[in-house]
Amino acid sequence: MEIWTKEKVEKLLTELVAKELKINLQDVNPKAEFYQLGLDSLGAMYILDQLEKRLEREINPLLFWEYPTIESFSEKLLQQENL
Amino acid sequence: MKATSKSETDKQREFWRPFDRDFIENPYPYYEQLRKLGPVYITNQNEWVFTRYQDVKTLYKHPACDAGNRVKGLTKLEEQGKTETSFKTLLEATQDFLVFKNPPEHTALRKFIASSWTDRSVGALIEHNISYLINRCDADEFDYVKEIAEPLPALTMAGILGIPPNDYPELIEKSRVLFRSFDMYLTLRDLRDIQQAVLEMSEYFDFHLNQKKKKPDDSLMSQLLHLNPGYQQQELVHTCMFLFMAGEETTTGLLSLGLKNLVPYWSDLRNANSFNSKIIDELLRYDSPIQVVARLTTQPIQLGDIKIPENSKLALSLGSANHDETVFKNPEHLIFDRDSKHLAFGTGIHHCMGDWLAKAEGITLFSRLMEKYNKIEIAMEPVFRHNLTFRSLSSLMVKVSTN
Repeated sequence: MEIWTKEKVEKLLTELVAKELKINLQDVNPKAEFYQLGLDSLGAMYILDQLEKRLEREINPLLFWEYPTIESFSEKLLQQENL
Repeated sequence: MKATSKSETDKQREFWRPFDRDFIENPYPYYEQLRKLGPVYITNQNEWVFTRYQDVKTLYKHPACDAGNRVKGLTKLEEQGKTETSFKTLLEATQDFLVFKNPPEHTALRKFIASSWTDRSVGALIEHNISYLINRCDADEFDYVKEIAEPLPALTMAGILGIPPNDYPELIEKSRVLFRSFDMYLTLRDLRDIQQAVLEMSEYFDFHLNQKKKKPDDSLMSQLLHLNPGYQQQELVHTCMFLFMAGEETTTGLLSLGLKNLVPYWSDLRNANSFNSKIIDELLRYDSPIQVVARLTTQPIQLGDIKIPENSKLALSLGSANHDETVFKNPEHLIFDRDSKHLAFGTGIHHCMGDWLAKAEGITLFSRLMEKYNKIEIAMEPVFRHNLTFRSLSSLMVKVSTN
């Protein structure tokens, strides 16, 4: 089973966001809100779906907007349970 | 112009907590704060949340507020084609749901359903279902939601549509999943589940529509077939599915919350012996089964000082509007002879078509329960369904004593 650290979750999330927005990894600011980065609700759906598959768990979609940056969302995901 | 300053938005964020169990169980204190802080709260996913009565009412009826957000979202999802699963089946079904339609398609379908659904003599059916369900509960303590509040609307809708009453437990399960298409926040996993429910319910209603074609009767399904102005079979299937779901889930909300809220007044109302429509309206105002309705603006809207841009997602809080202190005095109290102008059934062209049915089920059920049980107590903390859009209980253990 894969061991997930904050760095790894953040990296994965950054990759998914960059892929979804078709921008470079270095242009994804982990402190910017998803909405400011340009993600809409469909984009969020795609990202969550891939995230669920990679992390092998279900994620409440509300968490995404409740913790609306890569940093805060990653931290929340790790807090919730041991990945 | 911006509706609110940054610090106000931060304050509002404290009170729009759709994720929290506290908020789900009792959103009203939060709504009160939101109404005080400003007319609109723009969430961090750019949803415009309206909580004041007049604003909610105006926007609910506004011609530039599209009811079909969900359909638009699914259409875009299909167009982008990035998912492994196609959501074509789900898209086609939701497109056919009356509640997501806009004029002129909405007007035509609503007219067709209204002309088919003229038989309002459901009194005997409701009485029959209630006496069956109440007589079945012979214990002093039982789960009222499971035994009565859930089956009654399903049995009643089954009777009206003309499907076998015994099919209801399975239909409730599917209809519950289907009802999630109203949720504001969904994942692709949710959409896959909902689509599966659509497939199964389609198969079911398609079969029964075909049965009615062979053997017409006086059911609503037969009437829909008989008066069909040219809808495809699939559209009729989706309409039946929608009617079942709409008549079932929300009424369970009314019956479950309604009883919970009636318990403290039981002996008073029982002695007065006149359970009427006003009481039901007050229960609907006080604890509305539909808490939030979603809209999408098709044009910029000027609402007082606020300019809402085109293509904005709106969340209209009916639950909050119904507790607006500028319209309802002492909104946190049940006042049974209140003059009712609540928005629990919506307003305008999307005003609920089954309001009379829900009220009839409520009045009859609560009257019969009061006749049978001289005392009723809540035996365990009620369990709320964890859902922002739709307010209902999943369990209400009651302890009763009969005359």
